[in-house]
Amino acid sequence: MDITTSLYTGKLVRLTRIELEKDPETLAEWSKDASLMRMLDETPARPLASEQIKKRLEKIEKEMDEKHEMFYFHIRPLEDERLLGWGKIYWILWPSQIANIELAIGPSEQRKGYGSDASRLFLRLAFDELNLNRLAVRLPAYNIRGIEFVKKFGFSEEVRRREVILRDGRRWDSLVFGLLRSEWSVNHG
Amino acid sequence: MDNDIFRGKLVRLSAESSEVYAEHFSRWWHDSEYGRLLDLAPGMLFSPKRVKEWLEKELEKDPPEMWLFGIRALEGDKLIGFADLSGATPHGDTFVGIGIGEREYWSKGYGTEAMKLILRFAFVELGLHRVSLNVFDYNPRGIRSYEKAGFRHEGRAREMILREGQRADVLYMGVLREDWLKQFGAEYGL
Repeated sequence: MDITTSLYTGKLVRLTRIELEKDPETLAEWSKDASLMRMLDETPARPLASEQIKKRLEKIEKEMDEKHEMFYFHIRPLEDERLLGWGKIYWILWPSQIANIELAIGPSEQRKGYGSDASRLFLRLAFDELNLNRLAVRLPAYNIRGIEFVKKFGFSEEVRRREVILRDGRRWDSLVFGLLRSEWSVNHG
Repeated sequence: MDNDIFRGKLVRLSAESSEVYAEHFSRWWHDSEYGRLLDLAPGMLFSPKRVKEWLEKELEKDPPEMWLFGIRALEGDKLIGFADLSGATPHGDTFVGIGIGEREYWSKGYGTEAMKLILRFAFVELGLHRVSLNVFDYNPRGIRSYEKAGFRHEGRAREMILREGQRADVLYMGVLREDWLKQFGAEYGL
């Protein structure tokens, strides 16, 4: 058993706690256009003020304390404290050993390998520390990069919910991807 | 315009007081098979008092976040189950839940007719674009019933459930307004 390899430090990024004083500003900046929120799910995108985001983050911390159904981290580079994105393992249902996972990298920090490095950390945490058997990701069908990304890590498309999303005057499917522990390999991605 | 939209041949969708819902929900949940067909999470066996407190808060919301109906068998006007629509999105999608708590009404078409009624409500009154549901793969009676009400299979989320030492899948089903109109429009004079 190797307990010396850090669960939270990868080759490029670290999983860290929320910094309530600094992070809301960065997240507010990212919410000024819809690019990030629209890639995640059907929740309507909207600009958020730092104070609103701070409240949301405080709520997340409270929920993590009280319910133990979510692990939420902020992703930062090894070399400084700036915020690169967030990731969460959520809707954990312990008796079923299942959860959902979401990962988001800020628009200006994409295509630098941070997402892949963070993903490896989250999957290891999910399977080797939380002992989950299954992870699911929900993605809009128009998020082509997201779909390629999760496939690279071994996720397969299981569900295609037809015409769930109405955006830009068009109907889009919402997809569910699943990854079982037996399909996960540390070498993926 | 047909306004008699809450009544079928076997059942009607009803409004109930929180006391009546609470007493029935609490009793039905003590039937573990009912609970295991309905929910991924283990049943908590809440008291009628707890259920009532939760329901009162839900039913006070106007407009409702959850459209909850009782299902009453027309014969004897007996409350046999519930149906609800919840989590409606601004995109016109919602999830439906249904449970027939009184076991002697299983496999006799009561649930299917109730589902057809709540779908009709979703499309003709709420104006939704689609309705979604999840059903467990060990519930063939439910799957057959939803197929009859117009739902199509949209996928299978693997190994979502671990019960009795075995893993089971969750099926996703959905019905689009357009397909529903083709199948049932004539029946309802639409």
